[in-house]
Amino acid sequence: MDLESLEKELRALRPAAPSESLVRHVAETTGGTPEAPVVFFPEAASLRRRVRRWQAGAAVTGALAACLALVLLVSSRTPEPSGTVAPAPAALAATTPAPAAAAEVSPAPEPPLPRLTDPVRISPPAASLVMLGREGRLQSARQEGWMDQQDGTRSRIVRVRYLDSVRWQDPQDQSAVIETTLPMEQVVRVPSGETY
Amino acid sequence: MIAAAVSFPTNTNPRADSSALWKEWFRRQGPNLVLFARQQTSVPSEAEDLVQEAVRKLWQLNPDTPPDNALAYHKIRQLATDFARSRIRRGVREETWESEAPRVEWFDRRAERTERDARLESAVRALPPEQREVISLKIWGELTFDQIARTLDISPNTAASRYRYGLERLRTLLAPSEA
Repeated sequence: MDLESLEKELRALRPAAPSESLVRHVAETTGGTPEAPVVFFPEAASLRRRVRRWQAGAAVTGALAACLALVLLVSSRTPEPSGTVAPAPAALAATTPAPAAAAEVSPAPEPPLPRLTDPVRISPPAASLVMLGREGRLQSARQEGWMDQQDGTRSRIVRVRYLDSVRWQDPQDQSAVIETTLPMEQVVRVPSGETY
Repeated sequence: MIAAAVSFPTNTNPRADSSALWKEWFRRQGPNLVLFARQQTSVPSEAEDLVQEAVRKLWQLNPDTPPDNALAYHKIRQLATDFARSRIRRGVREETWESEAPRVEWFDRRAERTERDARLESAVRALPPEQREVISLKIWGELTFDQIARTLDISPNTAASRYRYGLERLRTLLAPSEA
């Protein structure tokens, strides 16, 4: 048997026709507009997409949960009670938790309100360091309710979140400066009519 | 009185024109594309998905004109590789697919289909894949060796030699039944 007759025999075989569903899908595809959303492989492709979306959603949720846990952990730390606040510590309404604790604060006599710029004595990271400056960068201030004072006035209870940054310098080496930053949270009373 | 001769275009919708072109192209090439796709994948049910996806991608590239046939075969081959990689990533065992899937006929079941036709199909199936795809593209795809070379990323000489070796192998496979 020569190769030419074999080729002729092979050409006589006709490839099987595509299924009706394939012909229909192709007609739908090529009859549409390129911009139109076209769905292919409805079973396999959509399932794969759904699984990918689920995996991406789970990954994002996990990452967010981890970030939230980290933020809560850091923000729940209270500073070491090594420094004394001047004016009196009672000036601070409370640290977290806010409203309940704030309500228990002695209402009178009315102390001056704390400010982020109030002088605070803080233990330096090392005995030889000198504090250069301190700065509170306000992150958020949220009103959480009202409190009636004995004198009949009302105060707003405000939960304040800020970044407490302190710069320290080594007097031996003037160029050596370190800065510590801690996220802080305070609940303060703001008399009605005043702003924080 | 002056009679104005006004001629209207027979078809004002270019999309309908291109749609008809694509339909006609697929009517002629569809069976050959599906045959090639069946030879490119070990999963019989995947062959038509390959063709469908290839047509969609080619249509997105140029919706106005049906593609060059060599490009269509090339796209199917490319997608077959992607699909196989995807199966490997998903850990799907191809042996299971092959053993459980019903055998799909590659060629038309003509009324006058003879035992000889069945033997020819079996012989084609038994060819090494690299020879089978060249024979398929040459015989049923009606591509030149240059086009086959571009489709398979091989040299024209390699395409020609694979074709010749494939035909000789077929002749050998068919010989015992002829004896």
